[in-house]
Amino acid sequence: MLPAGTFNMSYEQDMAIIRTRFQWGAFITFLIALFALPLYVSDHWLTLANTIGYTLVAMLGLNILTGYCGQISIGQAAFVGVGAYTAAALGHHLGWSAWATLPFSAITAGFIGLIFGLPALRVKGFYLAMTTLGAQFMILYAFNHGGKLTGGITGLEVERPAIGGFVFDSEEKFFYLIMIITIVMVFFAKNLVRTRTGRAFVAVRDNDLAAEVLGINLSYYKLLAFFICCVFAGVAGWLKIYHIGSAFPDHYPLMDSIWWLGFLIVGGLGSITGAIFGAVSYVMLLEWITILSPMLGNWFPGVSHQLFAALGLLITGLVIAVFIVFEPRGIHHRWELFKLYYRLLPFSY
Amino acid sequence: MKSYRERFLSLNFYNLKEITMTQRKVIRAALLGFLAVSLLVTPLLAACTQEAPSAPAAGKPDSVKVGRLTDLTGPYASISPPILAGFKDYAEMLNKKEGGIDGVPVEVLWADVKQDASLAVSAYKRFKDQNVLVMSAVSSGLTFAIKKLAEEDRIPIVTQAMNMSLYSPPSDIVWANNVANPGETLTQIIWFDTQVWDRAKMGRAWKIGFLAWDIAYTKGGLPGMYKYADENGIEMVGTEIVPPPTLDYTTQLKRLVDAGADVIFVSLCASSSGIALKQMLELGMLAPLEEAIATPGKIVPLLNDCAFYIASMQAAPDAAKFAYGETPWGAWHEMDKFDGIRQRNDWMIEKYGHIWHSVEEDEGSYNSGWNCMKVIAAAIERAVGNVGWANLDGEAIIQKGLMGLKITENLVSGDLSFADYEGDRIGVELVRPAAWDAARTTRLPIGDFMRVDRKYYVPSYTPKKPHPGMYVE
Repeated sequence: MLPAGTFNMSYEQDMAIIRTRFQWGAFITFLIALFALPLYVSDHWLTLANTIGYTLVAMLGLNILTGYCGQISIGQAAFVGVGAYTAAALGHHLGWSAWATLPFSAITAGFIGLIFGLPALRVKGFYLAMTTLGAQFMILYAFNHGGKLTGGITGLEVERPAIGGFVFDSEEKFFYLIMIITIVMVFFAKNLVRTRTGRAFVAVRDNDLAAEVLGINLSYYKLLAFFICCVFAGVAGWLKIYHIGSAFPDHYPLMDSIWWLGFLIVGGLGSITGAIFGAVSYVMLLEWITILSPMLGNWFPGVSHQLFAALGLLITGLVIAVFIVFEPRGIHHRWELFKLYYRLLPFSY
Repeated sequence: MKSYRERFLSLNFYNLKEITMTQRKVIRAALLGFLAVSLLVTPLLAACTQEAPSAPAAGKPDSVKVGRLTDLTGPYASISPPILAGFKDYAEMLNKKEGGIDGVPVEVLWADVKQDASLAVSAYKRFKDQNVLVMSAVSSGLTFAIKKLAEEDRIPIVTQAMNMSLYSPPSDIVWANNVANPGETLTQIIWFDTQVWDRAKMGRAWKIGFLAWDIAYTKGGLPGMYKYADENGIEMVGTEIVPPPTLDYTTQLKRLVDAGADVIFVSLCASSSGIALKQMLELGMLAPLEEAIATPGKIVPLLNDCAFYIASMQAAPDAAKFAYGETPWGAWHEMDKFDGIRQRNDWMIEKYGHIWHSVEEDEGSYNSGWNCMKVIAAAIERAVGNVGWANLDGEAIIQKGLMGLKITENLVSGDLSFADYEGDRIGVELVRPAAWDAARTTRLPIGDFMRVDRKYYVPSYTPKKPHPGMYVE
């Protein structure tokens, strides 16, 4: 909904993501604030921002697949791993530069995702979730038993990316790299869902039979959704491996896949803003819990540390449960209500 | 009676209803402008007003910080708490009894990072921002996650990680406080080969099967075992690798016994080893040592370090009496033999009022954490003695603290609790075979300390004779 007094007078205006001067102002202010962040905050907060960045890219992919196209995947962490290991293997064994490995990370993850998306042509819902769960186990098995190619249990290390003599070897430098790529991926995702493809995804999600009657090729769009989802995962994997510096099978656990899905619901399934809210709240909640549990342990020395650490899992699960019950449309919906209230002011009641 | 909202809106200075559209636009533009200018100007002002970085204070710091990554709610949840308790307790004891290191208290910063690489990196950065001098981690996965960063920052990691790849080739960043995989595995194999199995009497060499979780730690002992088996005529009849946390091992166990195994090396984690032992008992595979050796279809279970601990043994008390493992540490009743055990026992009685009453106080794990902090404190103390507090940083602790460090006092282990051995970073290498002491719910050493030949400390090895399930990197 547009702000009161704002009308679309042309097709360009109708299609614009950023429509009003206020929105432009807010957007530019946000960019200034974002890129000025390293001037204000410590390495630790930049690390969190970087983690949010690549988590967001992975969750955007999952959002396209699950939120827009209605296909469930519990293997996203493994697909992130495919992107990471592709970059690591090409860099480690063939000496490729980080930049050359980026498209291959994305495409390889996309094609692997395509293979595991094939069951989507025959099954859906719970059964599809089970097949993607299989992907999580099979891919991690491949990482563990890939011999020299994947480094097996010892993983693979990568060199930091560099442009000429400029090496991305600090959190600050990585911040700019990760944020630029994340913004590009957000922009791509935002535009994708407004295209014919995006509308086809939504049609498949809402009623696949009706979509097929309308002439939408279900097989094509379901597989395309898997491909795009995993391309995002591949990019996220590329960012993650160069941020951490090594690929190791334990770094792509099943729980990541499950939490990401849960926090997409918290953020708002089926909306790009929702994925952003989801990624931010997921990373920040985990961090908050990680900081809080030792503090509680120190305040109450008589109680087991493990009890407070377990609170983290309880809180994370509780947050998802509360949102599913009380606000299944997620934080994104609350944000839309807030914007609506503001735009209708003074008539918002 | 006006509602709160009406009262709020009726305030003259902020009556939203009376703000016109133009006014709203002006207010928004002003707010945005203010925000943008603030964002640009504040860092500049901050930069101008910032004091020049001062040289490190010549005096002593308020505290010396050590970072610890642990896993209280992840895959290692059942073994990490006692390790963390031991780690923190040593620092607490040091602060209380000796006023810390050279009068400076030791502060332990720790985080439960659930074996998650992103959380590990984030916690590492948080600790680095707080000027930690040494990092420590509970597992190979967490150590791998921060190794690259620590190398770049030159912050040493003294870790419980046992995977040989972290130490081969040796770096000056990752230091093992625990026994590496080949040490824990081969101690038992060599004990069985040289002291239990009589080849002349039995008329043949013995056969072994290997059952492991598919993670770095549990598979880490395989290469050394393969190499030892090849060189000593021991037949590997099968390698069974299962995904964690498998709860039914009957198929794998039957396959290994059918293949003729005399011994099954159980390389699992947490309570899974107890489950595997229970299933061995139910399948009729277990018997006292002499009978197990002499009877076809019976096996001797040898357990790795993380499998041979209180929770797993209490999960299968009837089967535990047939199991064997190892221990690099002194047992709680050996205080006359090890000064460090007496020191630790005294501390536990002072702090807790008892010794070893719960799973959280698993002795081997607690000692491992205790010894880890002891190594770190000794390295810091040594570095301070060499370079002084003013020049103390991670590099100084590596070069002047850890390199060449040998701990010979207040031992919780054999001749040395920690030593910087030539050619690698495996600090603790003396290990004893052990049985399970059900009465004391702890490991009971049953032999002398052994030093496994370093030629078996290999990160990979291909057996000369292939066998079912053979695992090669």
